Amino acid sequence: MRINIRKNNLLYPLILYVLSMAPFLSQHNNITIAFSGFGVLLCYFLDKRDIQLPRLLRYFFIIVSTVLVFRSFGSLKGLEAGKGLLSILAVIKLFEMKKPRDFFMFVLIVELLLVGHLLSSESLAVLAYVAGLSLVLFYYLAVFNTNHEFSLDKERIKITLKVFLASIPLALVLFFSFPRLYLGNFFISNIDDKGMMGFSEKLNPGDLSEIVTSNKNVFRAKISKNDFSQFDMYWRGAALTRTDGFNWVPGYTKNKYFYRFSEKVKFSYEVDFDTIEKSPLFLLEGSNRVNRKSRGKVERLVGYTFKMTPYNNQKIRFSSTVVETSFVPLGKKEKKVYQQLPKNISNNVKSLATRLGEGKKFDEKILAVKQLFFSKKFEYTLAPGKYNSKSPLDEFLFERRKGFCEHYASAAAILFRLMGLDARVVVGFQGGEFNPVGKYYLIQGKDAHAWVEVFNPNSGWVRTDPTSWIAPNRIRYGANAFFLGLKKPENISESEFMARLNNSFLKKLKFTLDMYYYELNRNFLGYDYDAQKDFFKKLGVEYKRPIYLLLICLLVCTIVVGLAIFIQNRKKASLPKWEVTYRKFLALLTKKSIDIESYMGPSTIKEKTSLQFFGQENVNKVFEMYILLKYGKEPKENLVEEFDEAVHEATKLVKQLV
Amino acid sequence: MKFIDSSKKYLSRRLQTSYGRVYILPTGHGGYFIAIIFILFIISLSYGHSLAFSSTFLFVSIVMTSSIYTHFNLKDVELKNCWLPESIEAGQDFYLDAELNNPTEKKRYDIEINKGSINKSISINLEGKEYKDVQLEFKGMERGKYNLKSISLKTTFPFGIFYSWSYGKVNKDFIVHPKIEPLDQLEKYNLGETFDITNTTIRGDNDFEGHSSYNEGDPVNRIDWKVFARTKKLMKKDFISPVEKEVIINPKMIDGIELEKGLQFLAGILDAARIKGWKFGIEWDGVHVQPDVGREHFITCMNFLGSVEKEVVYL
Repeated sequence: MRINIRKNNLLYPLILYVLSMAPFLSQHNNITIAFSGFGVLLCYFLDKRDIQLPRLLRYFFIIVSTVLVFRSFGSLKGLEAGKGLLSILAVIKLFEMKKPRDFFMFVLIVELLLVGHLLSSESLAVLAYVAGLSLVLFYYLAVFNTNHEFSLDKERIKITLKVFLASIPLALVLFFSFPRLYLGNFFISNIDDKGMMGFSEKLNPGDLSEIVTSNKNVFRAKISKNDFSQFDMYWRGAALTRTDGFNWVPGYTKNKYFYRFSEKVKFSYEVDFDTIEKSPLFLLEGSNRVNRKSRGKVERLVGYTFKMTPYNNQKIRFSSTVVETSFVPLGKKEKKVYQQLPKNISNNVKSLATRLGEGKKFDEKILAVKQLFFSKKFEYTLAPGKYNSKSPLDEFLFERRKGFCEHYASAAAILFRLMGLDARVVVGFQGGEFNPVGKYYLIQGKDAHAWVEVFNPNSGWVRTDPTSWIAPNRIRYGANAFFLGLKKPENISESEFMARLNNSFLKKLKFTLDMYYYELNRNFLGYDYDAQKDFFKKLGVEYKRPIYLLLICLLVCTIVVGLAIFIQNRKKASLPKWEVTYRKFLALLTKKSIDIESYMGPSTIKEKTSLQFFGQENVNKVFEMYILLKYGKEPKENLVEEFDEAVHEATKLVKQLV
Repeated sequence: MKFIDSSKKYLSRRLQTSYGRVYILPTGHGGYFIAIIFILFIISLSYGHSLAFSSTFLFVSIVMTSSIYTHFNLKDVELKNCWLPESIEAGQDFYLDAELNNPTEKKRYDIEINKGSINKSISINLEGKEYKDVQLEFKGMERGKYNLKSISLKTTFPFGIFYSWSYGKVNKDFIVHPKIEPLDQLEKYNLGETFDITNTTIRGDNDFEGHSSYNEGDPVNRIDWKVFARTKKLMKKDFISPVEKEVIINPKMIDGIELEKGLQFLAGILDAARIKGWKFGIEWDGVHVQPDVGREHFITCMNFLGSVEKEVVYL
């Protein structure tokens, strides 16, 4: 059927397209956004004037946009390029929307686009949005399937909702039981260096301030150990070894193992990222391995610094165990790395370090730096301003003396190296807000931190946090309380103060909601092959190969679909009693060789049987009564008894005569 | 190709005998949808993410559920009490009257009644326990004997992803008689010496005998209007020893003319005779249809002409 949708209204598909794009603009590049915006406006303009874009121009648009997408992403495969292409294809489909088929294709493209957005966002809130929009799209399919125009039809809304709700059990069965098989990485696109939080494998003092001042959730961690101290909550990211005198970059050594990991597990923990991260993983000290729970490649950079490269911008999820470690003495090559200093270090700094460390032992050297920061009244501030001079370290140590964790870590590490110690700067997160409802930690942007690790020849790497000297409350009570300026009253204990922080109704509500969000994410997004295996193990079904699961899945699906069909059929079986009686009577006639076809109505059968049962009013009465019961407007209750009697008499007669 | 054609015929015959059964297949759009789901499935396997799997499985379930809805939308819907006209002229559109019945409690949506030779399929909604009279307009057909075995009931409810269809039994024979060539056209053709309508002898029609009841098909000019004015009854005048004009058609009359064309002339002659109130009959290869008047007799003759040298075609 050919129908001109344009004349009906193109406004609805346009709105649907805008709804499928607008919340996800941040996922698209400028070319896609510009093309989509231009396309929507042009389409609206053409629709108003009932003008159709020439076919040649449409082809031109397709070719140009495909080339642009290819140039932007370097490939046409991968999620990002796929989304770009789909958004452009949807606009082209809007231009050529003429027939019902075009609308159907438009819906399919938009559905794929929405799935693309969903995969990029990895959020349950987006899943809800996509499901809602899909519902609207299916509603329009239902309306358009018959009317060929966009209208509000309450009945179709009800039907669409019913189909959606009825689909959920089967979708759940498939989701939980279909084997999590993996193909190759055909759809995997290129990976950027920088994560969404802004963490990179570099430290330029001042860079972290943006992250620290944000309230963005970074990851949640569930630790199996209950009495985990806030002072041990250092989530180690990249360990930086090369410095230019103020800024730091990694400079890994060939030897990746500075520790000996024992088999004795102290505790384990799970980490679920809320953002897309591509910097080294944030791990607790002593983490010996990373078990990835999301798709990606894990590699050990050095010691217990791991990097996980997520496939296709997926959010990282992993678990890890902390074991007892023993240190390995540093070799000459390693020492060279951890004592590297640039030539541009000023004499002032050198002489300061010499003065502080001369003739002192390891612990005394560290104490000397601590005392320096104390005695010279260094100030902790998130807005120290930029250090732009030629020697920023001098400016920091001798002039302004203002900064936050990055500045102190950088300065302390350089001073330690000048004193002859092996030192490195570590970036990551410190602390995190404990959720007492869900028993996990929420680590936010404000917890971003930098500290120093110094090598003690007798005991190995020792964590030294200069921030704890300048702003001890930042470490003791966490970033949350510290940045809010909350101070512990003198008359209460520290634990009581911490408990009070989380005691308000709003805080409890926030914790509860966050717990649901986290658990849903953990169980839903984290439902992978291993989780599936565990799930089936709990149900008492163990499988060694996915094929068994595939068979189980097929079996369960058959049962679900069979059940649905059975329920539908059962509804049919609930016929009124008089209908059943009538059908039984017809069955009797058929048994007595009276040819009754399924298409015959009661009048036809009456006509047919009137010859055979000539003058037998009882038989005729059955059909007359049935017509009254089925099509009559009288209350049926009054007729049923009479009908039953007529059937009873007629049955006797048929049995006698035939 | 022959094998495919014969297989199709065999299948269609097999399917049509199973009246009441509901068959289901994806529509063209549904095919695209299934292809998209397959792509999503491949993406899920490659991406290995729960959200990809959940989206894919949600679409799979919607497709499966909608197929169940499509199937049950047609189940138990019956086509009953079909009626076709007794006489159909070749090339003339005609109607099939039937009753569409929903014996269940559930409402049925967008049931399309369809047949290859139908002019325009119609779409009907049926409330629970509702029956509706439907009239299907068929395109004009060629002369011949036909049997309309069944009518297709089809639905793509709710999303157009699947279409299910069933066959409602009709099993009605009908004959499409030749097109009636108007009498004034007959003179243009040379029909030979065997037939000359203008020279047909008329035997007396003036000796009045009495009145009898007027029946449909009787010549209108026999109605006695005076009696009608008095009694309000239609009475016709009968004559003693009526010697009426008679037209007996036979194959010789159309010797040398293409059969279909010839049959059209003969149909024209019969129609002309009917209008003039003459008796008409047929003598055709040993078949004798005695001359008579009246509508029923006319239909018998026309149907005879319709079935000349024709086998039954099953629709």
